[in-house]
Amino acid sequence: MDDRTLERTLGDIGARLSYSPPPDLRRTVLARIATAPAPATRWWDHIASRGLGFRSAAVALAVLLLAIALAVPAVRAAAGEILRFGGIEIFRVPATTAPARSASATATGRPSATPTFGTPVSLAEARARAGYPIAVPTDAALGAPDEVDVRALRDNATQVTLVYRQRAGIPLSPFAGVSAVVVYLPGTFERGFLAKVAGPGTQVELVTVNGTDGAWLSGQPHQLLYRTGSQTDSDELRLAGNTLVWQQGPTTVRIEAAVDQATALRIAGTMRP
Amino acid sequence: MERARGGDHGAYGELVTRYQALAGRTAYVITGSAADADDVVQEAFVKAYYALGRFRAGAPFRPWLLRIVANEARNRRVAAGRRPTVDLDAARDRASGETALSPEDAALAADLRRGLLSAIDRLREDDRLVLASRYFLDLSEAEIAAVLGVARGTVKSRLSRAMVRLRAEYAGA
Repeated sequence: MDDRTLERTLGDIGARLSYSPPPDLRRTVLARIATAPAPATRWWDHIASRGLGFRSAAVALAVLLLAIALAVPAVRAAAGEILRFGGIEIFRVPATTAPARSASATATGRPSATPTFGTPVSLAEARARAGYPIAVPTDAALGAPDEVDVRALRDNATQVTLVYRQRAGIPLSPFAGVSAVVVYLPGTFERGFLAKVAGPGTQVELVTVNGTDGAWLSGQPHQLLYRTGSQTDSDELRLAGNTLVWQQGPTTVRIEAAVDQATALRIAGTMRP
Repeated sequence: MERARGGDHGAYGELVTRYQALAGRTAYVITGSAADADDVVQEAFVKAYYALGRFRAGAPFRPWLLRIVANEARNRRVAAGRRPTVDLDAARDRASGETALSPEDAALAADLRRGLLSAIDRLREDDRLVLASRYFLDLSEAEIAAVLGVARGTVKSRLSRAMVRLRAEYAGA
């Protein structure tokens, strides 16, 4: 079949798709927006308009966090929907006030406003320790990372974090304490190693990142929960803002930064292996 | 557009009317279900209304809207957990629709359409969607990028790779 016939036939198929939108769509949409409140501003706009700084917002949210389930099994049980990417699970929960925290998590599961990402090393050393490929974004919005941190995880695995302390045009995250972080985790962990808990205010969108499946979490901050040791009582829990997460080769990569989805995807595009 | 952003519901209604066919067909192609597409397109227009505050003035509306529709549709497809396929309108697909062709040629053309469509349905999702966006929905490169959630610069190469795989799939069937 020549190109013209192929393209024309495909166009003909498009013209014959058996779908037309419901006839009352406009009315239904207008009825729904008429009864609902005005377009929502972003969560940090709310914080700003109430005159709270990011620090107090972080504290307020940290307090809220303590009321939230910390143990992965409890969250899994309560989750309405679970999305999985390699070592990551994203739990969609109907409300972020649900199950009581576990005793073990109460003891040590402290949310930290300024988490540490490990020990600063050179990029070369990080690569040597990690044993998996690390692509550093070349996007102009980020430039070179200020710091490359490594952290030993269980099973001799290494987490590598590229830290971007302060970047023009990217607000400091009240949670990570920096403009952006890019985190690499080896993807060989069992499920539940890294979990994200998204309440109704967090949008979870499935996106394609560099040709593979990924997720974009935005809106209300979500909980980031992962285990730093072999015991569940060493779970680390903190809040995270807008995050793009995807599977890249043998690793799970996430970009956490107060940027929009297009910017995050653009940055990720410069990390194509 | 500007009036809609200012909270003018009537103006937003105009936008719904103008873009509902495009949005609906996009949702249909992604979800592969007319019932899901109905829900998605309604949900997407409601969400788009609340997101109007984040719409950059002067930017093209279609890709922005299509991104919302595509995200909503993808979520729905994942939740449904089945492989999407689209149907052809039986009446329009009948040979008699093609008056310029002889009955034999029209029947051949209809066979070709069905064969290609079923080959497309067997492709992996990325390929299926880039082909559907380009040829079924007649979207621009920027709009295809929005639907696929990829950088615009990658659309051409994705499209040509998908085309190669479509030919192989069709030939192998």
